[in-house]
Order: sequence, then structure tokens, then C-alpha cells
Amino acid sequence: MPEEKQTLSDLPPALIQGLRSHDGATPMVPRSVDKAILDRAEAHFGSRRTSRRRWALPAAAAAAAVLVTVFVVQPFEPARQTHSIADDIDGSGSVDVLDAFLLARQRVDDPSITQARVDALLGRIVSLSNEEDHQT
Amino acid sequence: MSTIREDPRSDVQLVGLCNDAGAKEAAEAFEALYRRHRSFVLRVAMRFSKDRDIALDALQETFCYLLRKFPPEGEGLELTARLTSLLYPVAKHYALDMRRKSDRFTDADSAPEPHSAPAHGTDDIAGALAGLAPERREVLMLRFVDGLTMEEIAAALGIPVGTVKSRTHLAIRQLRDDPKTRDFFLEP
Repeated sequence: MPEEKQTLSDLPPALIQGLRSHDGATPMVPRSVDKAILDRAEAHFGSRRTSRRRWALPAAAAAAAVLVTVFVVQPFEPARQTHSIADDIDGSGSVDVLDAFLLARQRVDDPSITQARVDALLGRIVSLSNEEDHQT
Repeated sequence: MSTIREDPRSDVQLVGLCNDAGAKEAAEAFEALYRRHRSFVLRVAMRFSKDRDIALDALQETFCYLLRKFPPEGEGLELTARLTSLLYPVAKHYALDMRRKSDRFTDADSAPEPHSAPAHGTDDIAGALAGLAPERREVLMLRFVDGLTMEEIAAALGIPVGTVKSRTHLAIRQLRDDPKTRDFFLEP
């Protein structure tokens, strides 16, 4: 009596070939389809260059404004607990230049964050520093 | 776009470039992934849609889905194995969804119609496959036609490896016991 030559983890090669024939030949992909997909990819990754610059400029502007104001106009000191929770962007417990950096970066991905809001936060950071000087 | 042949980098490396590299390098890495996997995606889409035009649409949607995973639109993709495990369920979803929306078919689980005149024994194989439960037929095709490993099939289907092995064994046993395909398992 003919013996089985395969275990239950494998199929006979002829049957595998039969499965592939049954599945049918894979159609050729038209060049127009290739081009559509790859053009879209090129546009997608190309926009990455723009968005990376988009946050770099406001972040750099925010950093420059803070550094000029804090170190040229006022000595830098960490703010005390008289700030709004909303200004503590990074949740560190204090409002400082790091919160301004983070908000400027978030603005790239969140259109609801305006430049005016970033500028207002910078102004409050400076104001908090001024208040501490007057209190001491 | 440059022509890329047999890119030696792994899927993990290419996905990493799509996540983090500059625009040009990321686009080239994506092209390498596309050319490497487009036949597989199209074959899967054909298997579930039974229609070339629908399959080509599903191919485009599948790779657009992948593209949206990468920055700036997406958070990036963490890949630890071949991309086929991710692409399979996406291609299957789009193919089935588009097929349902078209007016060409009424039964999504109907047996496939041959694309050309059947070769000797193809009718027997088609009949035997039609007798398998859909989940067993699916793992069988992924294993022996698409060449995925048990682990890759498990990841693609979202099921344990043990379940993949069990379904594979049961499918093979059923084909061995089926009069239409029994002779394949016998010594000449």
C-alpha cells in the first residue's frame, strides 16, 4: 500500500504548485499605477522638509526673544508658583523658557496654537521674572 | 524617481529611513519597499476581490495607507519583522471593502473563478480548497503560496502562533483525506 511521504506540517511540492496555479498569475502592475504611488510618496516626504523648517523658525525666534529678554534685560530666575497651569506646557511645575520652546514646536502640528499665544507666553515669562525681582 | 533593483536593506532598515531620513532618502526607501512588496499585495488583493481593477485600486490604497504612517503625517512605524505581516490585513480589508461596494459580486465568500482554462487537476484543487473552512484556507495560502512563516502569519492575522499551526495541520489533514487531493500525498 502506498505510504504517505509528507507530515502534517508540509505539503507535497506538486500540490503546492497546484495551489499556486489555482491562485492565478499575478497581473502586471501598470507603470501608471507605479508612478501614481511613487509620485505621492515623493510629495509626502517632500512636505517633511517644509514642516521641519516650519517649527524650527518659530522655535528659534522664541528662543532668541527669550534669551535676549531674560539675559540682556533681566537676570534669569525660575518662576515661582504664581503662574497659570495652562502656561506650564511641559508640566514641570514652573513656567520657563522650556515651556515657550515646547509651545512653539507644538504650533507646527496644531493650527489652533497661534503665534500670538506663543508671544503672550514669552511675555508672561518675562513678567514673572520682573515680579520676583520687585518682591526681593 | 530612480530605479531600485534588489535593494539589499531589510524592511526594518528601509522603514527606519522612511521614519527618520531626509526627503530624498526616505522616498527612495519607500520605493524599495513598494517594489519589493507590490506583487504580494496585488496577489492578496486579487485573491479577495477576484477583479483586476479592484485589486489595482486596493494596491494603491494599501501603499497610501502605509505612506500615511510616516512623518510628517504619521508618528512613524515600528517594524520588527517583514512588512508583509502589516500589509496583508490592509490589502485584504481594502480588497473586500471595494468588492462589496462594487456591483460585480453578491457573495464575498464565493469560490474563485479561474482566470484562464484550468490546468490538469486544478478543478480538483479548487474543489478541495472550497471544502476547507475559510480560516484554514487562508493560512494555507499564506504559508504555501505567499511563503510567510508561522510567526508572520500569526502577526498578519492577529492570532497566536499555536492557532496558525493548528489550522495549518488541520487543513493539510483535510486535503490528505479529500479524494480530490489524496493522491498528491502518496508515493509514486
